[in-house]
Amino acid sequence: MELTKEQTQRVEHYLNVKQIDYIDIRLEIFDHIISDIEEKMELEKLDFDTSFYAITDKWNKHLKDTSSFYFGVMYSAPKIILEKAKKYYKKWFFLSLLSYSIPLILIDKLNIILSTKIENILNIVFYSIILICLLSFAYLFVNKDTKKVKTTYSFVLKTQSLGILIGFLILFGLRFLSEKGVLNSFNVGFLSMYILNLFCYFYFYKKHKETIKKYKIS
Amino acid sequence: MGNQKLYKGSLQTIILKLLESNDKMYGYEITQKVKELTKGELKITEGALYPALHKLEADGLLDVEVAKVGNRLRKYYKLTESGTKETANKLDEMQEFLRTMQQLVNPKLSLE
Repeated sequence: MELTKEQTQRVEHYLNVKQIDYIDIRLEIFDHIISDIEEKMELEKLDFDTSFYAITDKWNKHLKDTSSFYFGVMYSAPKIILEKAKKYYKKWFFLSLLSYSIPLILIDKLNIILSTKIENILNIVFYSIILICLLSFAYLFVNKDTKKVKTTYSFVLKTQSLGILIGFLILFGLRFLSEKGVLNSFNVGFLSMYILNLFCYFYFYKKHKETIKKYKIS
Repeated sequence: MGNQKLYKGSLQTIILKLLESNDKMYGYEITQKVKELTKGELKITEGALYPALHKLEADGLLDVEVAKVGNRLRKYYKLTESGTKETANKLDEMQEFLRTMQQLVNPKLSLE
């Protein structure tokens, strides 16, 4: 039994109210709910309203707005979106911790003292890296196009943008070498973590764009 | 249906096996196929199915394809190359698990 246009619009409205506007998830939930209602109406000989309420009641707890430690409490999304985002983001979160602690431990252990010439070159290298990162981030931020179409990956991008921007402001004020030519392990570790976070941003940017292309919505 | 918890740890293997036999499937179809094959003994809920599918997709074992069916779009899942290899591994693990369980709960039968 195929649903009428008005009945499918009721399902669309339900998903709008629940803020399921992330295309990669919305499409499959919409299809699942419709298929479930159609079968229930046919097999149990129920009317649309009864079937609709029975099915959406099952979904309510999975579409509840929630937040996660990984993204911070200020960012929330329906549970099903957040759970999917976490599955992709978790590895980046732990890599980020590693990218900070590895340079920190290595520099402290090796205790390298640099000559003035190398010191100057390194300073130029560090600030060039920051500048390249800033330009890359600006490009990704402007082109991510998350206002028009939302995906699970654009949710991750949203949670990372502010942190990356504030981080750049901090990075420009940091000194990577002390006056005696010793590398500052905390600040180099911070830079290393930033580079990794930018790679993470690029990864989710690419996933977001691929998803839009796959769902033929761009 | 009190033994649903026993099936929980095997959900990913069940999905991979179904996709190996059916080329590509959509979410609702998977729930119905499982219900049909187990004669209603196992019912996969939405809350278990989609997190499992998304995990397999995130691990690169499943790929997604979108097709227009009737007047709406449908998202199909299919095995990737590494998904096919992983299915074989998971099924071997499952067979081993079943043999071990058989030895534990019914030693006489497992000797026959």
